[in-house]
Amino acid sequence: MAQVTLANILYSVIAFSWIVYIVQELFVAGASALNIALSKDEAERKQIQVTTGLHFDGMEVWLIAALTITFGSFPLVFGTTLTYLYVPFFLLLYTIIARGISIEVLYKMDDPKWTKVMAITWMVSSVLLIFIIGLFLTNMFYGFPMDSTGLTGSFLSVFNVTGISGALLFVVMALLSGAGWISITTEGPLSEKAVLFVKKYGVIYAAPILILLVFMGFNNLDNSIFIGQLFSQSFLYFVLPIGTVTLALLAVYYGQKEDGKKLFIFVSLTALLFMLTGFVGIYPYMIPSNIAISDGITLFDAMVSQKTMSLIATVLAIFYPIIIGYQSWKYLQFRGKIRRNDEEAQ
Amino acid sequence: MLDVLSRIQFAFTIAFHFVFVPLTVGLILIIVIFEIRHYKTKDEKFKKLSNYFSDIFLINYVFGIVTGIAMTLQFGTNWANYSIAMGDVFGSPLVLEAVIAFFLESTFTGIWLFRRNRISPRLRLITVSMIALGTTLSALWIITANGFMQNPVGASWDGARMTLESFSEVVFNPYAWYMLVHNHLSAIVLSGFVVLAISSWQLLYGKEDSKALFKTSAKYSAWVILISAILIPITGNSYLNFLNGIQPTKIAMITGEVSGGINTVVKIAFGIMVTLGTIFVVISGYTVIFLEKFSRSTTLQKIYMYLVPLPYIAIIAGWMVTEMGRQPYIIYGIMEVSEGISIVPVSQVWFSLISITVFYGILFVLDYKLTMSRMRKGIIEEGGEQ
Repeated sequence: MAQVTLANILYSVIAFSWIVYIVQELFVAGASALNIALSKDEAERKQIQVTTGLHFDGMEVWLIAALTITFGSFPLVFGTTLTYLYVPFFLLLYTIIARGISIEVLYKMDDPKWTKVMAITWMVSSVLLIFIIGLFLTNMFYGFPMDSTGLTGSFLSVFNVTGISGALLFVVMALLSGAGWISITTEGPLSEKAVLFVKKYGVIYAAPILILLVFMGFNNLDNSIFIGQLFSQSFLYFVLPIGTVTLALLAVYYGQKEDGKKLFIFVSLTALLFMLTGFVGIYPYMIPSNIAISDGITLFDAMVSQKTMSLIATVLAIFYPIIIGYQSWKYLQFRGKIRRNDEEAQ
Repeated sequence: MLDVLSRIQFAFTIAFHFVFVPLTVGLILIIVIFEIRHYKTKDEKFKKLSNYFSDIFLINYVFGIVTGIAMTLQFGTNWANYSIAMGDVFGSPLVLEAVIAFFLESTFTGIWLFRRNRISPRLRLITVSMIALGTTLSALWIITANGFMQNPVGASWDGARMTLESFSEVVFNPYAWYMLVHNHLSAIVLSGFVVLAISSWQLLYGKEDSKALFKTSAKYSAWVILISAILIPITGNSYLNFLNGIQPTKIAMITGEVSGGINTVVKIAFGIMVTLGTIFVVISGYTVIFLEKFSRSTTLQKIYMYLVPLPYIAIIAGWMVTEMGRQPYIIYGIMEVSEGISIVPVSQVWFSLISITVFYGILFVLDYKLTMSRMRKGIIEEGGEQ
């Protein structure tokens, strides 16, 4: 296969991996973030732990996959991005570590003092994690201050209004998705409380507003993704951003009706289309510049040799279906609702 | 300064990561043995042992995973110039590690952690086997990447970029296979010592009714250590002979032909590794032969509890020989370490180095407390405490 075709395929696989990661991360981070607000005792907290913990290891690998495939196929993008965002990526790392460890410690330790500290750590690290991920992804779609000499300024440039709106959008989507997930996968009072909680505090209304803010932020740029290569090619691509807003409104509707399952489905679809809008919009840039469009780094600037790309593509063609197979099997196998005091005897 | 800080940070984070890795890599194989016995004999005692040691495994596994993510990120944050120059060759083993190994072990670890008593003995065996396969494949790919740094084959260097010539040469790099076998056997020995120490503690201070169980685990671990400890010097010797041809500077450090500074450190580390390796054969041989005596002797049991640091020292010493021995190169004979760093503000590297040290300090305390408190609880009967 031609080198350019392979690069396009791998770019799509990276976008796909990010989307699969985000859709799962939203409910894991969201349900974790709600653990203190929703659970009135340890039995309910254990329900949330089981329903998120069962899947969190497996879903986190999608993030590692997205990053390593970027490393293996577009090392220039990997090196440049992570060097520029040195501090944010270390902070992200700490939230990933804190979240993973707190799920573990909470599950294994029964000392009430530790439980309290770890429940707070679990909540705070989950919120920060999805905030930083949202900040990074939104900025990737928004573009970085890159001129002909490379990236300018410091990592603080990611704290622009659009970036922060995007980060908050991810936090909101996580809370909604988490509430929906809890109501689908658990039994008893916890299940009923979850969606009521996000409705009562008005979280359900925030997503469409934040999406509009982010899209307006993109549109304010001279190098907006909406006038990028693909969007200017065909008007049909505007189905993506319009669809994103529509799905977010449907999520509001079902949140109002306290339908946890539909809320979960429509929030997940909103996230999916939002990401798709971004990845379609920046193409062919992987580090788009919001100063001068031609100074950005495209996938073709960064791609490795044809041999390496076809190797990686072959491995992915074989193993992604297998992985998706056994992860789907796992979701189906363990789809039963988690009851109170359901944690296993050892 | 940037160079020095980045090196210190990488050395510290990889050493910390490697506190957890060998224990999980080896322990899961011992757990597989228990699960096979359980599946075949239907004897509940193997299920109890497997569950007990699985808890120790799972605690350390999570710490290994999260500290491993730190390693992946650092290739971009701190070693961007290396990553960009070597990406064509070095990136693909990491992709393969994530895609083939990480997904497998993580997906099945979730089941093992939260649902292992809800599934059939057959599915239990499949689950632990998948985790074991995952950890082994993970070791294979990361060592393939490291093997390339030690002995760059299957690629060509144009002075700025490395380009892949033959992936099968990269995978079948003899250096990587020697290292994989040597490292895996060491991890098994280390895990055997941990199982032996925990069994000793249980025989000394544990519940009366579970002592028979821990006599069984002590027997299994002594055999596991003995078999692997005998294989280590055999494979190690041919590994060394192979090195003679391809890494003359490392050999000169080991034999003491060159000395002073890092050279002497390598020589001493090599001496420590070999001495400890010999001691392991003696200890495990003695335990296997005098198992009855061990199960009655509180003195021996007390001694065994304190042997755990030895395999850790041996394995870290071994890695010091491997990694310090290739200095000043990051890719042996081709690129020096100092050429591989990212150009970032020094203050940011200070930030990450200090914060990660504090963070890892907390993690170490947590891991130790969790492991010890779980160890002390002993066998938990089904239907009892969670």
